[in-house]
Amino acid sequence: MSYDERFARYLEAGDDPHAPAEFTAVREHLASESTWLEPPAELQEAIVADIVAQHRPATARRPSSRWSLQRWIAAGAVAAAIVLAAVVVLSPDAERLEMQLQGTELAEGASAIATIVSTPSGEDITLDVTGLPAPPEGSYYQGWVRDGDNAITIGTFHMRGGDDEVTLWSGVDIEDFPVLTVTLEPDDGDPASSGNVVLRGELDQNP
Amino acid sequence: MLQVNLRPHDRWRPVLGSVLAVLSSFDRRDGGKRRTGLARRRPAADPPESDDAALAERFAAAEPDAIRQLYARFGRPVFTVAFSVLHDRALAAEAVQMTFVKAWRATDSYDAARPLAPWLYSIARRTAIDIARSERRHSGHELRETDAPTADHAMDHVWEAWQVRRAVDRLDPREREIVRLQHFAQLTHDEIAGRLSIPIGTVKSRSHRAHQRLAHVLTHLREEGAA
Repeated sequence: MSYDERFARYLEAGDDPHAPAEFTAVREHLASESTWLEPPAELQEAIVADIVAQHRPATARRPSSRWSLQRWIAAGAVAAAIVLAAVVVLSPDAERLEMQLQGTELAEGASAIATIVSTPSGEDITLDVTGLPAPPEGSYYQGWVRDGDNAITIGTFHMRGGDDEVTLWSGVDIEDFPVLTVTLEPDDGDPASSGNVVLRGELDQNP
Repeated sequence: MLQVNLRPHDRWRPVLGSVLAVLSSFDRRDGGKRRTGLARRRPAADPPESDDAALAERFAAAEPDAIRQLYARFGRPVFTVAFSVLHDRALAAEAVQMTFVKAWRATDSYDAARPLAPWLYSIARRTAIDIARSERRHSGHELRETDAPTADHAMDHVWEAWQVRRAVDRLDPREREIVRLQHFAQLTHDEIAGRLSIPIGTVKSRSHRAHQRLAHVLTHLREEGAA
């Protein structure tokens, strides 16, 4: 019997009292939780967002968005008062959208402006967040895009350093998933949304 | 060696320096009798994959698809390494994220002539150990004792965990489920057949093939043990 055959037989049956150490070690690993655990579902996109955010030169992080935001505020104040949830305007650059997110009853003083830039690799979403407090210990914030029934995570973050820009990343077209929400998530490893929405905005597809 | 331009990341250097110093001390230590009786694991047995260099180059450029591709290939094994060190899912997830970010920052140290797997494994292990030590410092002895590996046998165990996870991930999903139910859930072939509603002959044939593949993929563990 070859080494491989003996190894395979031992792995399957565990009936060789003189098995080499590597045989028994592998069998122990096959019975171990660590071999079969799945990482959290949102982890991949969080890593993508983290690296992409750090890769972008500081000067290019949010090109001309401040000017666009001011113009939006001036032009859209009345509409914002009527449309309670959110308003989106198309920027002069058709590849960039802006969306306002309003705090829900869970974060009434919070708001955010989302700048969404289509890139060859996906939707680059920068949230300029104000008034959102740091999440309680053992929890974090998570961004989602939704199309009604389905939600896709676009990354996680905390605001423990105060108001800031947060870079998120979507692999799906924002026009297909036009609702953007931020939820408060317990740090329990459960990949599903808690449903505790703290910020919400919706793309106006018929401006 | 890949030549990529990355921003300096000075805030990580003290941490990495201290971790590397600790790891160097392990190398100088007399290992004595180890749990498996194997020689020191050397993370060089992963076969190089043809697109490793190209993937590393795209990863260095922070291409989202490349990051996802690297994560799809190594995310689970990195999580296994982190959990093997930290014994805590949340900390392990944190370690996985830090590992990929550190790897991205360190792509200029990656040798394109070598496989990605052992390079990433080394970063994952160091990151998990660093978190374990940090947790110990901040939580006190009575809280979340993480049992960080501080001996050669523990290092062997983590390296084996990485290898076994990679081998399991390469199995056909149907065969992998048989192996999981047999070893982790401790079910018999009869019970697996009932659980999956498939004939017992199918369970036996898939189990046989799966274990043959595992033995073939992991046969290098013997060579490492003899090194």
